[in-house]
Amino acid sequence: MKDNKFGKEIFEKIEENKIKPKPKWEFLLKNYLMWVFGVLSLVIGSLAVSVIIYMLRHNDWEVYENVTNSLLEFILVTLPYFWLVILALFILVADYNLKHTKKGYKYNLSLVIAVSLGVNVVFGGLLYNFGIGEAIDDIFGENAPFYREIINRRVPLWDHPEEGRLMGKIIEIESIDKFTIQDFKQGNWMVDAEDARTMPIIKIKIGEDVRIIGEPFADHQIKAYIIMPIGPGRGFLKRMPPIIEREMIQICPENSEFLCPEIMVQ
Amino acid sequence: MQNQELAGIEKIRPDCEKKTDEELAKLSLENQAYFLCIINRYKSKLMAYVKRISGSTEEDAEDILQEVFIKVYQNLNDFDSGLKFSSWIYRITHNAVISNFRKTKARPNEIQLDLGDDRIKILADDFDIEKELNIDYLRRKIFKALNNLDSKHKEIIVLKFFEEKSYKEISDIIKKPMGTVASKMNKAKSDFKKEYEKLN
Repeated sequence: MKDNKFGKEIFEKIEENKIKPKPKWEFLLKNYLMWVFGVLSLVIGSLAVSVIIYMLRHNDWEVYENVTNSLLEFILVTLPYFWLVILALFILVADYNLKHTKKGYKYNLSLVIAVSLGVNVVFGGLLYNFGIGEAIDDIFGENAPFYREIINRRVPLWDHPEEGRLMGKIIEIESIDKFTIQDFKQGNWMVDAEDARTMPIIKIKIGEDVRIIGEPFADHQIKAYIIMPIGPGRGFLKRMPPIIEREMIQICPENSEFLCPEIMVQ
Repeated sequence: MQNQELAGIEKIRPDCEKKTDEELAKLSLENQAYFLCIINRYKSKLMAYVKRISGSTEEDAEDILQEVFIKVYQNLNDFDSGLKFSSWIYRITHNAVISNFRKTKARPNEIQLDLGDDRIKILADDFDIEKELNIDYLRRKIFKALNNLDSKHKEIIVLKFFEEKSYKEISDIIKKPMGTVASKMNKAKSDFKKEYEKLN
């Protein structure tokens, strides 16, 4: 390789193709964008953690025996897989972004995973305390496609009245111990709550969303042992079509203001 | 470019030799002539490196190297003074060789036998292999074993023993954490030993 010839050829190419050094701002912008996307990934991961905490803290640990045969089965069935996958995915996205910053290649994957996870847990905990996890689950419950199939696999667990697990909205009240709820499939169930333990947060009133653990004893009749609030997945019940409201209006006796809250009058 | 201008660029400035790589990179942005100093300073080293990791012919290696220097020129503003210039230019060369493999869908050819007797002995010591009395025979066996290695491991060995780069520099060149470089080096050494023993 002749020294001058080689250099000359390079300069000729530079001149021929009008090549110029790229401006500094282009590199700075790319670097900053990578950082911004990296931070954004951490924020999304933290939001996922806040939902995971919300779902785990309201995971009906006290009644797992009524839902599955063992604690292990209960954990496997109710783990918030969707949010765990989102968390893992955005940790990897954060790693990808970091690796594309100027000095990001110096950090190995296990360190990035540990630090990201730490940040996600701390900020996810804070967000959970501010009610963000709950709000996200409600929004997804109301709007996200495949919510009960993929996002919250806990919901279909409560769609088994034949096994004594039922979730729905109170649409008619005969007495405090006898009322009717409507489930996801628009099926009406007469609930006998005479011997039931009702969690204090529950108010037996029309429009209340409840879950019931009990035992079916006749066609569309169930004896309730435990009456609980919905918790994660409650936004999904808002998808139940307005048929419920119509039905509630029909069923609600005209002179019974006690049993018919204001929403019925609208 | 006008011939007159080229002639001006070819005429290397007298203070070129005294400048550091980093200074030359900065000056090249203001005056193209300084870029010729960078070309002259690095072309032989990089030519040997390209041939060692790709086994390319002189002509192909020259094409790759042309592409490298044009990329270096284009990206001068991306050079980070926290990095050694030589690591940066080796990184660009490493990437150009990889992208050339992808473009041509070719596998790296056999690396070339261009290591002196002393370096061969050091390499044999480092790899803890039994030294042959005949240095040429030892050299042939070492290169045969090296050529049987996976290209990534082969490159790490080339950078360490042929280009004499430190772990920190190798980390900056291949853009991998130091720990990964160390574990790749251990794997490369153990694979090399196995290949070497197979030849016995």
